[in-house]
Amino acid sequence: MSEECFALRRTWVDPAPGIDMVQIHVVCTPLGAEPDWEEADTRVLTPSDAAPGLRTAVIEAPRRLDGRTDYSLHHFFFVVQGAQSRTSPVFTEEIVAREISYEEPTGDWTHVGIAWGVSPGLPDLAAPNYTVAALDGLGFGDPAAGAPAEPAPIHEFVRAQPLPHVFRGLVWGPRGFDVRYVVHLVRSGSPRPEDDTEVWDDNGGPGWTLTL
Amino acid sequence: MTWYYPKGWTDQEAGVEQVVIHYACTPPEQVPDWSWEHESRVLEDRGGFPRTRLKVLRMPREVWDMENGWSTPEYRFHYWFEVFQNGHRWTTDLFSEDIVYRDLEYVDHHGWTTNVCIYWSVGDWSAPVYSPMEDPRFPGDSDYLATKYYAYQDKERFHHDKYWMLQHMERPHRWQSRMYGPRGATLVQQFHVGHMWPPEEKDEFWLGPDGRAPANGSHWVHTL
Repeated sequence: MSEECFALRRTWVDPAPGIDMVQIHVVCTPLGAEPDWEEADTRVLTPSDAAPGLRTAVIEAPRRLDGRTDYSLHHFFFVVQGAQSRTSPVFTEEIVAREISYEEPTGDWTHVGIAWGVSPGLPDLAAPNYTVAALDGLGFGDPAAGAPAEPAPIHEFVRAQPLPHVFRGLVWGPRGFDVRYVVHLVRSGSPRPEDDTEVWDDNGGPGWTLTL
Repeated sequence: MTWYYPKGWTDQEAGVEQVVIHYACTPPEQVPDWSWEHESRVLEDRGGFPRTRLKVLRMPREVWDMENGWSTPEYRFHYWFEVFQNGHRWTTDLFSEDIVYRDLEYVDHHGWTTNVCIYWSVGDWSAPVYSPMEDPRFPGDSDYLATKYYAYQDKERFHHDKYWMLQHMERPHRWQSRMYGPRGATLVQQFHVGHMWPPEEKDEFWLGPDGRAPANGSHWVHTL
């Protein structure tokens, strides 16, 4: 069942009071392909305290579809109000990946992670994700990987790489959306275990933002 | 269609920076190979004091049993949490739960109903699921299967044709579908019932043990 995914919050704002329920139906296809709605995932959007009439749901989208990081995400809403229900038009977005690189000059860190989220308009609503960045020169890293079961025992391999160390990881989202991220620096597998530690580099608080 | 399972975490101390849930599903009596069949998700920080975190997991309806060569709707869910706190990471014990299902039937003696779903959620209403129901006698190759309803463009045609197909089926109509959850958990549940044809009689409502009710209102509680 293993499928690397990322979390993406989708939103809906009630245009008028009295809406009982809103569903989102989501399906992904290769770029340009027609959606097969029988393969769709369905989520009920639940009311949010962040704004009046706002409903949200976090969907899961693949990090790769048929081996590609870029693909189409189709969705529509199904809305029930009293004894009436209606379906929105189908929306199609292009999901794109962007590489984030982190240059680490000291060689002190064995692993670098990127904690990131796609803002659906309100930054606080970004659903959290994590990517393990791959170190240039080490052939076994995957810049698209999610959190591993435990940090890989690669201390010696990392130390053997020339400085600076450049770590690269991918983030995803709909084209045009903002991704906010911070960097997770981890040192594990040290000869002296008490030297193992981790810090979060958040650019002094706000993190970094890129537009997809 | 899948179903959704909310997994929460409450910080017991200050200094927690991130919590990740690692999980895998296996057939009953089997254990996962964590290096192969493993998923991880970051829990959403929901604030508060103590701080709570939540991730709604998308769960499979069945798991492939490689040893026996079949899919099983009841399976084992294994998980643990990885906690980043005060510059270090630590992990919880490994937990395992039996995922089981409960089949529901909605009996319509009069042939009035044209659409009905189970509306249900594990625990509370934080992650509700719609499970479209069907009478098993309804043709499996029909364009008017409940699972095709949402994406069917011409809803009036769907309503009309399904209504007449149902009228030709002997009563009572026995609509069926399935809910899932961890053994011992509670599910909250309503039906969402539709009478979509003829147009002048169109009616749609949630049904609980006290009759018609608002969504998430009067509901049944099941223990798995």
